[in-house]
Amino acid sequence: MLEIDGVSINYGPVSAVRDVSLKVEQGEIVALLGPNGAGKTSLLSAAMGLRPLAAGSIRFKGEDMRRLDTESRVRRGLTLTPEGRKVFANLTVLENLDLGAATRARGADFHADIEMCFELFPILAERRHQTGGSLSGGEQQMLAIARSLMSRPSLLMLDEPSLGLAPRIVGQIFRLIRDLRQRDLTILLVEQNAHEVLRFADRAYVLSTGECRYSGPAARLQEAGALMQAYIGELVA
Amino acid sequence: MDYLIEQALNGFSIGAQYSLLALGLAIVFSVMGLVNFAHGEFIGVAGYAMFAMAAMGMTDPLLLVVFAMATVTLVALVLERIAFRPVRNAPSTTGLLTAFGVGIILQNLFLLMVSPRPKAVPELSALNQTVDVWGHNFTILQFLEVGVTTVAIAGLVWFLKGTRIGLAMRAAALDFTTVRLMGMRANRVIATAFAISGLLASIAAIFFIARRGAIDPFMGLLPVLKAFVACVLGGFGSLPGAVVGGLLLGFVEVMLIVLLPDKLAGLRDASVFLIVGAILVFRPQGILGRRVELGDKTA
Repeated sequence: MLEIDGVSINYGPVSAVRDVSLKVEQGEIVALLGPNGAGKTSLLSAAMGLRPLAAGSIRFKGEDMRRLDTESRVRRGLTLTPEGRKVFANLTVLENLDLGAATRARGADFHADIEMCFELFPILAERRHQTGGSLSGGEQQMLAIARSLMSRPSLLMLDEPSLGLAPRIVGQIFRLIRDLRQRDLTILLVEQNAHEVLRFADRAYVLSTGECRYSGPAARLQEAGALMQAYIGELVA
Repeated sequence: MDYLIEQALNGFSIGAQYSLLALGLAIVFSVMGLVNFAHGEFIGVAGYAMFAMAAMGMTDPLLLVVFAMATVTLVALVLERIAFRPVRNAPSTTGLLTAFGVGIILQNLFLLMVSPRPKAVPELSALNQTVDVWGHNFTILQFLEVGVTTVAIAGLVWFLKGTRIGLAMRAAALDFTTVRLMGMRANRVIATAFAISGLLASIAAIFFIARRGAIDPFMGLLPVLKAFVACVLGGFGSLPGAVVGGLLLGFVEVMLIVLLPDKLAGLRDASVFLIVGAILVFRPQGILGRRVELGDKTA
């Protein structure tokens, strides 16, 4: 569904990502792991068209994404829940969800989708008239995911959904992500919280200092020491 | 007492004009961080558009007003497209200089194409007729200023809360990147902000021209400065702040006209800025602005 092929990304003279290839197939949950500053967020930004590519290509459902702006990519079913949630703090929960559906008119199915979000996250229904800024961290993460779902994506990219959340809430968010698979969603999940994610991801990639260190079944990374090897192996060598 | 009531409405109606102008500045600033100092020239555009139409024989005031509003809105959109969009991602000083440049070009266009001297636009002067309300003297224009401004602000509030693009504008004030992630086109959001700022400025321009009955190439200079002051006073970038700042500025001005003896009339604008300065000493972030952490300056 998503094919990232030989992508490099630069910030001025600094190279953030070098020759990374990554594939996500329909119906999969793919984990993209790696330490801070590995280039995971840069890769997702590039997939959304917020960062230019220095080299390589990105295809989604077989279509070359390089010439499409962010809006067109969202219309084609690609969506990103950004790092740090980025809930619109001055807008109410309902208004946040409304903007999430910016690529569609407010028709009958729009209201059905709002109801679907409230079913998925009952707490958001309770808070629907509160501003995004007044929600707790966990609630904001739920709102950020719900807002992404409002665009009816086929591939949902989540950038560190567990960041800064209490362990109990993290468990709740991860359970939810697993449940989303049943809704015909394909998921690309960026996380630092690797051990939790490897339990339910199908495949995993490990990125470190801008290069791909591992790609393969998630289960193999769960073997003792394998993850550590992938994280720092090449650095020590 | 009579005099006081009449002057209160006067302060309200002058403040309303400042509010409309300040709102336009604040809307563009909030979505793209640009202080559009060419904003005052929208008044000139409205004035010369009316002048040109009147010279061609169209003197129906209503048609002139509609034509002026449409022209200014269109000019705002064109300026966004050809002048401000190319420098959108440049440092903010570039945008500021672009705005000054656009202002100077427009002023000189008026000057070269029409005349450096003031021209009469008397078509709207009938609005200055006084009417008697419960023994007080008001002009029709004053009621229009207050009424139309109220309707315009209510319309703006509806737009910002009720429409998707309005929501996007409010969200973009804090985080434009995430607005784009929602699939909202940046160009559409910014062009809409410019169109609204032009529309609001055109309303203010019509009142301004109706009061003066004349236009000149530099007529936008002082109003845009006042609108800028109103924004600072209310808290820069805050839309309610722009309205409050504009009204307050209008009241202070009228109050000084009333209170200052004739001999000191020349000190009116100086006194206005003195009072504004004093307010900002106590509320540097403006009346409705939020204080921004700027670091510890004493360390």
